[in-house]
This record gives sequence, C-alpha cells and structure tokens, in this order.
Amino acid sequence: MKYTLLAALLLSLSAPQSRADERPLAPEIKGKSTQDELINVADYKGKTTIILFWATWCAPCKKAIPEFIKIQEEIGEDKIQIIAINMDDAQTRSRVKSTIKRNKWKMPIILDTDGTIAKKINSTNSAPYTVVIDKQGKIAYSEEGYTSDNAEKWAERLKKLSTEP
Amino acid sequence: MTHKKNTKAIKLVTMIMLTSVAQAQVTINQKLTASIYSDNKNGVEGDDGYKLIEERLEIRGNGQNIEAYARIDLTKFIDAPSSDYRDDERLERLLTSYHLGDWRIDIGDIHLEMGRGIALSLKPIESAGVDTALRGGQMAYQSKKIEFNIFGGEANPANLDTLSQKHVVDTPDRIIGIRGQIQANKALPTIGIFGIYLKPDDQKLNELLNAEKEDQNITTGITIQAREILNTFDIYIEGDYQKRRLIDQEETGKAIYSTIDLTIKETIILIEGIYLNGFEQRGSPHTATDTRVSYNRPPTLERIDQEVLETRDILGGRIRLERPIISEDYVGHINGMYRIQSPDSEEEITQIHGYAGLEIYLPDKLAFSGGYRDERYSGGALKGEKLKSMIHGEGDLTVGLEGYELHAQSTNELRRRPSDGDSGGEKRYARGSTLLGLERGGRMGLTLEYGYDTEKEGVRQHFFAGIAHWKFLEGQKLRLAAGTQRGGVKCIAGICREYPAFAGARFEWLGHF
Repeated sequence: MKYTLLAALLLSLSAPQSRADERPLAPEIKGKSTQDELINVADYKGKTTIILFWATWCAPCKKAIPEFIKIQEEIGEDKIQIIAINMDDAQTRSRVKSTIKRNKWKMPIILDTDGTIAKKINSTNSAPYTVVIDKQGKIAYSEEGYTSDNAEKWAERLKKLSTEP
Repeated sequence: MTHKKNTKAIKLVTMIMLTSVAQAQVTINQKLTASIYSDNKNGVEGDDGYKLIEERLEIRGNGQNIEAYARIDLTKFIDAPSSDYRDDERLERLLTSYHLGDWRIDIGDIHLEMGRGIALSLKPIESAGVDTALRGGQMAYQSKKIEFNIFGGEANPANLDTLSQKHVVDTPDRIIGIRGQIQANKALPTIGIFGIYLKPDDQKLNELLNAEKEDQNITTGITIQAREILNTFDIYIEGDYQKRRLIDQEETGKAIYSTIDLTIKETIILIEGIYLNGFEQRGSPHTATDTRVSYNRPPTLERIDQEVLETRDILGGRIRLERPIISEDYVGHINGMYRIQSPDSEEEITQIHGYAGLEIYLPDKLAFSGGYRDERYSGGALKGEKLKSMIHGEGDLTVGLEGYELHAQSTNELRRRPSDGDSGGEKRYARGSTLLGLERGGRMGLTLEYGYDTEKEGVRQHFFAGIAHWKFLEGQKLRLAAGTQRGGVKCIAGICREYPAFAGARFEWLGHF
C-alpha cells in the first residue's frame, strides 16, 4: 500500500513534466567503444543525437542502422549524430567487431557490457530500441522495434528536430 | 541484520533523491501483466491452474548531475498451486547516482561485469530469468586513458523467478571488488586488472560440518586488449586465478580466454579459445532453481541459443569465417567448435559442432543456416558413448509489403540420445518452433507460433499460440498472447533453464509516461 501511495505521489509530481515542450533531460550516457575510446553522449550536445541499441543476434537492427545512416546523410552529419549501443553479452560479444566490419559502420559504438546504459534509457531492454536526444540534451523520442516503413516517420521527426534551436 | 540495515539506508537515500529530482525530470514506465496458467500437460503436478497479476513500476528521475531510480514489483496470485508461489510487494531496485566530471558514485542496486564475464557477471538477462544486482555502493573514475572502480555490497536477486513464477528468497552474498584499466597511448594495448572477494551468505554446510573458517572466494584477473595490429587483427587476452575456501578446504581455479579478430581482404575470421580449470563463482542456493547462484557467465564458444553443459572445467576453441559470396548482399559463414568438458576426468565429454549459413540482403532479409552437433563421453567407463547429437536447421525471412512487414522464422532440431533405461536403444526426437508475423509500422502486429517437441510421451507435443500487440497511444502498448507454448531446456546467452510449458493467456499493458 505504501508503494502505491508513493507511486501516486510521484505520478502527480511527474505529470507536468510529461508535456512535449518539457522533454526529460537525458541521463549520463557514457562508456567505452569497440575501439576502447571513451564516448560521452553529452559531448555531442548541439547536435541531434540518435542512440541505437543493437545486438549481433538482432536481425531488424541490421536493417534499422543503415536506414538511420541514410537519414543522417540526408540531413547532414553536422546536424545529426548516431551513437550505437551494443547489447551483446560475453557469449556473443566476440562477433561484434566482425559485424561492424562487415557492415562498414563508422559511428561510435559503445559496448554496454553490464547493461547499465540499457537500464537507464531502454525501458524494455530490447533491440532495436531508438532514443533521440535533442540539441539541448533532452530526450525527444524513445521507441522500441523497427520496421522499414518507419524510415519516413523517423526522417520527418529528425528533420524537425534538427531545425530546432 | 546488516542486509536489512543497508537496505533501509539505501531506501531512505533513494527516496530523498527521487523526491528531490522529481521536481526536475521524472519518467515512469509501468508493465501490468495478467496471466492465466491452465493445464500445460507437461506431466508435472503443481504448476497449473492459477492466475497471476504482476505490476512493475519503474520511476526514474534525473537532474544535471544526479540520477535516482526505483522499481516497485507487485505480485498477486489467485489459486496459487503451492507456497512456492507467493504474493509479494517490494521496492525491488533502488539506485542513486551522482556524477561530476570523470567521477561517479552509485548507491543502491548496481550491475557489473568484469572482463568477459568469466570472473563476475551481474548483467540482467530477463528472458533467461536472470536478474541479480549488487545492493551496495560503487565509486568509479573513467577518463580517456584511465578507469577504475571500487564496489561492494550484497547480492539482491529479483524475487520473482520470471520463468517458473516461483518466489526467490534473497541471497545476500557479499561481493567486494576493485578494477583498474589503463591505455597510456593509443598505439599501446589496454591493460586491466581486477580483484573480487565473494562470501556466500549461506554457510549451513560449513556450520553443520563444524568448519573453522567461513567459505569464501578470492579472484584476480588481468585483461589485455590490442587493436589493429599490423592493420590486420585485434586480440583480447584474459587470465584469471582464484583461491576458494570450501568447508576449510583450499581450492584453486584458473581461466584463460582469448579472441582474435582477423581481416584478410573480404574475409573476416574469428578465433576464440577458452580454458577453465576448476573455475567457478558460486553463491548461496537459489530457491527457484535448487542450484547455487552462479555469479559468472563465461563465454561458451557456442551460438546464443545452444545448450551448454557446466562451465567450470572446459577446454575448447572455435573458428568462424565470414565473407561475401557473389556480391556484398550475400554473406556466407562457416563455424567450427571443439570443446572438452571436464578434461582428464571420468566424466570427460567432447562436443563438436559445425554449421554454416548464408545471409541475403536484397534489401529484405533472408538468412538460413544448418549444422551438426555431437556430444559424447571421451573419458571413463562410458568412453565413446553418445550423450546426444543433433542436426539443426534455421531460417529467417523479413519482407516489406507496402506498409506491412512479414516476418517468418523457423528453428528445427532432429535429435538423438540413448534411450531411457537399460534397453540400449536410441531415442530419436524433434523439437522446434516456427513463427509467422505481420507487423504494421510498429503500431500493431500479429504473430502465429507453432512449436513441437516429441521427446516425452504422454505429454503435449504440439503447441499453437497467437500473439498480438497494439500501440494504442504513443508510449502505450497492449500485448495479448494466448494458446500453448513449448517448454523444456532453452538456452539464452549461455544460461540454460528448464522452461515450463505454457498453456493459457497473458495480457500485458506497457506504459511510458
């Protein structure tokens, strides 16, 4: 019962912040890349940043990532940044590098080895999962799954976001 | 007692933080599940005929340098078949984090992994029923060249086993660790070292046998990672050593693991090798599985869905070759794995697994693969005798159809193992599943599933289910699954669990606010 009351209290507190014009601030998203470089999403503030959760075993991810790269090329790499978050664990992690090489992906790819990043912004712990952070470092969209007819919707959303101040 | 004190303190801190950051930004995720479990006809008594309502509420708040998270789990059974199925409500996860520059402090439930999971892996894999956090604290520093963290706390498993729906009693095993990593220069390899201390909470056997000292486990490890050597290959090497005390007996464990990623023109080669000698990271008994909790998850050299035996004593390697065939849209791969379980012992088992596949992107995706796996005793009195073998085949097709997406997936295994009893014969059986789904723009979808498992007589062998989902509002999704789904041993990421067969219906509402 006390938890239900607590939840109700927090829901009431959260209600005004849920409006589209008051997007939630993105938490700290930081981790080591496949190249062992430290990537901090906050460093891309000023650009619209697409965070893509993927794994080697996820077939739709291999379809989603190239389509987001295409959108990035259309809008401009100076306006849109893609950061991929790999969700593979120890058993399949050995395949991550070959998948990146095979697909010629050039974007920074963070290895979320202990699932900490997924816990923060991937509410369903699933792949593909897309989070878009606006230029102010706030979460504009988060969405589970990907199908090919989503490309147009994402292109529209991202174009609009990239024109925001 | 200490566990309760820690929990109270963490609850207090998180609640204060959550309430304060709530003024700034809060996101809420909730998942309400109502399930009806009818008779699954699996030949097991006491796991049917009940209803379950679960609510998981996740509240996350974050300000500029501070983050707070709480997860509340509520479980209500109707007609619970036994006391293993318990009503529950609790603050399952709590976390408060403060970060400033390269420094970070976490208080609450943290998830960790050391190296490639050989020494420690506390990463949740919910689909395999694994969700244990470390309830305690962590201080971490992470810069471009150096990173280290120091952590300590008690294991805090999620108290509902999501596979069996049984209650899991807390196992507050103590874990303390330290880890450091340095890459002095980009041209040099990254070198890491770590140390972990584990003391299981359950010392009953120790007490029963009047052992003088409590059981414990000390593990150390080193990792070396080098990239783009001669512009051709990357290499990762990990070595771990542990000293365990079990009922006053000192034991040691050793582990070596390495991967090499090699690119020769268009061919990508992966070579992986592992040696584990008496290496384990076990805690207190897990009440839902009747085994001791394992806090490590070493690489298995296998595909994600393959059954693996024990990972305490193994020696093996695998090689994978991948290259385009005809054009870049056709990618072929071949894989070979050789693994010895419990080498040089009476129980030695040798596993061989070879498979190959082709992935086609035009731009829709078609992938298929197939292979053969054999496991047989290679030591002791049973030397040469088969444990099991299988021929497997898989297919995966995704086609875009003007606003819709069709997805078909099929996995099939033809298996052989010695017959039960002393008849000396061979049991042949098959298991697999096929899914056919139609999805509309991520807004709604319908999937039909057919599964089969012919191993056991007198139980249900064919399974049919339908799964529908509908995103009725942005951030709001309904999901309904009804019918029967096969159970049996299923493996996800090296964790193999006996899944109970499912018969009934399940309704889910997932909300994001």
